[in-house]
Amino acid sequence: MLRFERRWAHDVMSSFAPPGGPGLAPDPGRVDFVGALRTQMRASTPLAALGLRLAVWMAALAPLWTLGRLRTIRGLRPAERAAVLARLLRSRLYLVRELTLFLKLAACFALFRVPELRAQSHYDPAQADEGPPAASGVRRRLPVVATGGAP
Amino acid sequence: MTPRWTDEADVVVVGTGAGGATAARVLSEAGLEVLMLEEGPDLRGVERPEQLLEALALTMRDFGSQTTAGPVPMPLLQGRLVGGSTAINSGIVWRLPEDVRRDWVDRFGLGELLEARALERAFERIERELEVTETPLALYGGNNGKMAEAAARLGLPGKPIARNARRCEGRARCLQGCPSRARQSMDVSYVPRAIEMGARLRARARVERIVVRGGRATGVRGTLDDGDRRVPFEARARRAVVVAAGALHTPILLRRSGLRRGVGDRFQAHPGSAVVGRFDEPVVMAFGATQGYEVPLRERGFKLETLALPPEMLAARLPGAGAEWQRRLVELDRYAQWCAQVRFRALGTVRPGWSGRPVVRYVPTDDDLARMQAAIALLCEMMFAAGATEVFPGLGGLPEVLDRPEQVRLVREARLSRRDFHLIASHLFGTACAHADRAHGVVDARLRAHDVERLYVMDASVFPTNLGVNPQHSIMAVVWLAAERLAADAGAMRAAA
Ligand SMILES: Cc1cc2nc3c(=O)[nH]c(=O)nc-3n(C[C@H](O)[C@H](O)[C@H](O)COP(=O)(O)OP(=O)(O)OC[C@H]3O[C@@H](n4cnc5c(N)ncnc54)[C@H](O)[C@@H]3O)c2cc1C
Ligand code: SF4
Repeated sequence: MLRFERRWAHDVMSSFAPPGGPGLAPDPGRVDFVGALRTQMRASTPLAALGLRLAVWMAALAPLWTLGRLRTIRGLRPAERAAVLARLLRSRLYLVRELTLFLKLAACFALFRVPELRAQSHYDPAQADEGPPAASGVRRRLPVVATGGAP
Repeated sequence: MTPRWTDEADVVVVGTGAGGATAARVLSEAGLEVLMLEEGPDLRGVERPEQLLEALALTMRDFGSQTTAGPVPMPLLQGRLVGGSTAINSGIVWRLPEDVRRDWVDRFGLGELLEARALERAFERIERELEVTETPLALYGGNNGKMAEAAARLGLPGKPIARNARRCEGRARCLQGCPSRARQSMDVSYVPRAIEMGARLRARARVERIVVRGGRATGVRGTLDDGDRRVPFEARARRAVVVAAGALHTPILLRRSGLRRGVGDRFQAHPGSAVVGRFDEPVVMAFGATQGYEVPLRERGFKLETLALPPEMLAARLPGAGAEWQRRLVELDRYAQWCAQVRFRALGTVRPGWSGRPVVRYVPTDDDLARMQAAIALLCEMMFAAGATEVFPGLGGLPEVLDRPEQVRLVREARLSRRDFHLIASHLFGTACAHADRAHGVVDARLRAHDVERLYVMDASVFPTNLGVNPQHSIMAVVWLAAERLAADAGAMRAAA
């Protein structure tokens, strides 16, 4: 990717969960969005890598073709950026929504590499020695070995 | 190019997944000298990367981005490492259903291979060796437990999944490779067992071509990936070449080696699609067997299973962007995910593309999609029955979130097109179909190529039809029996020589 494309990629990928929002609101400076995207592109088929690149262009220039505003996504306020992406994810055009989803997944790969963000998500069981909650009606028995979940 | 690395063995096996590793295990035990060649890395005894991104980049072929061709692509997942797809799968074990066995015997003439008692013996042996047991209650966790509750409430025939992971600790991360090596995938079971019995393994060895002389397979050629160098190699096979590169790469290798008739035709898949539910109480998908509970409804053409996802994939699956999505991201312990695997009937083709990668043409039939829609609707109903407060059906053209059980009707009755479904397939078959009659099959009832002597195909490619159940156990058992025949033939060859 060229330098401006890397910048666009960062702008777009950091806009799914913009800073200052409620819930999980990472500091974009702490998340290596572009690194994750590049790893994914390198490991993918040439066609899929091209698709990701196309997705970056499509989403970065979305204000132009969805709002008619002459700017890239960077030129919008954080909440507006997320709104544009949400709109793309709901697009009636199959290619648009699927490419945006592809980028959202790439953004998630980057977000959950950051241990604090992963911890904030409450995905992993609270404490290794406490064990998980059992489904109601299911007898609870702890496994012998720690239930630490994915590290 | 002159080969810079050469080797020789009685049998050269290409690929170390369910088929290749089982073949190597049986042939080595029979006293044959076996060389296993595997394109992917050997991660036995190596800690797999903890991060999902790096783990998938290392172990999943093309990061899961190989898809069917055309305007509505469907991802086709496969492992690319020692152990093949078994090294990233969930360890689900199902025997070949009897109706499928009969169909293969009656319509495809495979009675010689699939004699019922012999098959039973192979299944029992594999189940013993791979420590197959039903998922215990203690390893249900919330994701499996909720499906058990839903099945009980709706009177569905649910049951714990049998898996080859007796020592499973419920870390719910089979996709990244089992950190405790509990799951008996081929990299921790039949590959090392074959090596103990004298087989050799060469990883990062991609076979490009089968060498055929005088109508007989005599070895293979390919390239070794030695870090930054690619080294050409040749491996000679004194008795046989066994191709087990999986349903997408076996036909490519066969075609590149001059076999054409029927090769790559009859591609079939057993695709899945998932439904997510949100609960007010914690579910904690991160604990429990990755896939520990199922509702098999083969008579309706599908099977429902739990499927725990890593947080990256779960988060991407939740709807929207911005505030709504961000709120959901701090409560990832509240979600359950289950999937529907549908026995699609469509037939497709696999051919080499310009880059040498497989080009898969495959279009599901309307009936396939109708069954998928029915299965997804039932999953939504089950989620509500288990107490979900929101359900995400994952279908285009419908509300992203259902918050009342009555809305399941929308899913059941919607008029959907192929573009509205998110399908993904990891059970792939049929591209080197077995048929006793040369006019209809690539291999015969002993899995010998009809057109080239001493060439065998022993992987999912030989399956004539979609099973409608998880296939690895059937692949292993069918290959087990064929490998026993090959060993017997090779013994006879040796005696004659
Ligand atoms: C994510 C996932 C989950 C799954 N879960 C289950 C489950 O729980 N239960 C179940 O029954 N099934 C499951 N499956 C399916 C099952 O794993 C496969 O059907 C089975 O492993 C196929 O066996 P195979 O021998 O045909 O191919 P594979 O197991 O895919 O092995 C083929 C091997 O050949 C190698 N290879 C390919 N081309 C070459 C070449 N040119 N030279 C050298 N080597 C080559 C590949 O790298 C690979 O290692 C799952 C699959 C996936 C991907
Ligand atoms: S659920 Fe976890 S411990 Fe169990 S087999 Fe899978 S990865 Fe291993």
